[in-house]
Amino acid sequence: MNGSQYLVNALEANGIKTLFGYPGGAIMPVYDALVDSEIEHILCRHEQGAALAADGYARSSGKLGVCIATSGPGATNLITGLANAYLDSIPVLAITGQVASGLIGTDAFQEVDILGMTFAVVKQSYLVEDVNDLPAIINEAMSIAVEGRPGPVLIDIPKDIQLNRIQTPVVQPSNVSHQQSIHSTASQVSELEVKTVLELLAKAHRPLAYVGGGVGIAEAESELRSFLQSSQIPAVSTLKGLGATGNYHLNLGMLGMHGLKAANFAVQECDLLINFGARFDDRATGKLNQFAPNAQVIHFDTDVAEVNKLKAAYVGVIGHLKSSLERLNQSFHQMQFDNARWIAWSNWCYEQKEAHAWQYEKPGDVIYAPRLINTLSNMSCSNAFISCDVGQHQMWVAQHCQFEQQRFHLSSGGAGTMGYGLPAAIGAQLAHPNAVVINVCGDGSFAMNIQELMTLKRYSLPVKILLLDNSSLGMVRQWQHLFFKDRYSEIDLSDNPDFVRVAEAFGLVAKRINKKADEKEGLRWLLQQDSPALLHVVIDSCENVWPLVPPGASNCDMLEEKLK
Amino acid sequence: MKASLTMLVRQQLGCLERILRVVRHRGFTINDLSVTPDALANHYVMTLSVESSRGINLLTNQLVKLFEVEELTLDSGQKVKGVNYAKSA
Repeated sequence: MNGSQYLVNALEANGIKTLFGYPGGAIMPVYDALVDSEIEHILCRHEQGAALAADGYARSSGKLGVCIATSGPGATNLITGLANAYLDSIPVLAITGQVASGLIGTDAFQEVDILGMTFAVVKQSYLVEDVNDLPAIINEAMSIAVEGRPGPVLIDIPKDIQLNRIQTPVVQPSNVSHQQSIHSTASQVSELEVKTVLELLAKAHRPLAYVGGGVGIAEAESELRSFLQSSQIPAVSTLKGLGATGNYHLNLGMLGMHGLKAANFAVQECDLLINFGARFDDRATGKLNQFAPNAQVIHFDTDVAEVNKLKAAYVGVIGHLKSSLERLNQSFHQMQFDNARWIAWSNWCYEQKEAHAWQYEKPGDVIYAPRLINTLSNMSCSNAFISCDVGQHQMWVAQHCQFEQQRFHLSSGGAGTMGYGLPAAIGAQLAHPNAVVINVCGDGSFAMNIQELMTLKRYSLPVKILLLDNSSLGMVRQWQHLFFKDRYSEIDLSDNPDFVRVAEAFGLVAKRINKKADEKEGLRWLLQQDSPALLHVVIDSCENVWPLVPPGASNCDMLEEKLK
Repeated sequence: MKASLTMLVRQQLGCLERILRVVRHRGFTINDLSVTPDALANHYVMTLSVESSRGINLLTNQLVKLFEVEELTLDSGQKVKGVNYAKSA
């Protein structure tokens, strides 16, 4: 058995059923081994698509996503996908071919130092120097990707190593299930920490839960909901935290730059902020020293480096969120906690939520994107996956869709990778073949990985694409309008192609709507399709995302739409 | 703010680059650096003197997450085990 055959067998033995990749010279022995494998290889049409599809597969399922590429440009094309997974803590294993060992460092054809180029965007990485190191490296890499705070790991394998005969051809599967390991980090919650948390709660008059993506990653949603229900503490969510609280009535929605007013007001007023798996990202906090200015902070996180990184915590609870929340719930129930002190606060938060609820009426007969997105959310089933690209449509999805779990919302939060949505939808559809998967995209983002329409068609994946076309790079246009005195620079996409004909050329069914009266019928048509489909929605090119906290401003200084 | 720290580092391809990258990226400049093989097989002892306007914990919390960093000791004598120490030991 050679190194390539061992690699493929090891992936199989560890439960990997799907790979996303693109072949090339330095990875050919692995592709040869794949011929005899039961692993389903998905040929994406660009390595970036493969990496982002692996991200979507992992993000939607909690399982390890695997992507594979050749050396040189094949490997460099993976990097954006690795950065995307790194910044959102998604478990991805990337395997790259490398030129033969003796050629490394000679500027050989398609040689790049991918190990050196990716240090900043992986949790760990390896260049295999001896084929007999492969068993340990593969197991270690797969474990590191899924354990603790998940993330991407890279294994770079020179071509001669792929072909060399391995001495121990019997595959030893890793002990890790490669489902994100729920209790991999033993809870280190101490009695003192729990006691301090409860003491702070006992003194608080205006407590607020600040919910981040770490909750869903740790599969701690039910524990969080149990805590919220029993405490009746209001909650706000980050972009990645959306869905974690389910339909909790005191969930005030997303906070931050494009957050809901009630959520941002609550943060400004709270006197105790309980952070569950969020990282005080600048898009969430606005001006940091004016974020939750009157609050003491409790920070629950798996990653020690996140606590006190940006905002000082009175108490940091480091450990796996599921275990930490279980412990908190246990103590909270044992104490028979009296939450009467913050009932008035909870009521005030709810009133803010009601008072600042979205209004979907808009004069005229053009399509109003927030209403369309909200209608999509109401019409699609509760376990539909919605993947986004990046820009205005992404914020409208975050504002106007309801998610029952975090995993149903696939959005590039940390990296903000335009072109994420379509490959992520491909990954999600392959992980959940019977699920409804919708990609909401803009005309700018859609073009970034448009080649993956071929992947949709090849594998008959019934992904539904909702393309919101404002003939511009809308978010950039909005910022140039607001902060650069209407000096528009390179945002005009009015020469877009006919997207219906483009989609049809790739083998999709497609339809266009451009009037308010067609909104529901268009969405109904899209959701009824059982093959790859695209609904091209022409929206007002001047529509903006509101509210908006200007960069560097406090979250209470939200700009709002000026009604004409 | 100036600080010195000593790390026990598992020898693995790229481990020194990985550590130095974190130091730079997290906003610290290096005033002094030494790396010597440790008596423990396949390990280095790396000593760094660093300077930054940021608190040293912002650096040490990132360094101990690196898979190769098994133990970190601050000049105050405070020792921190690497996050992955148990696995690599």
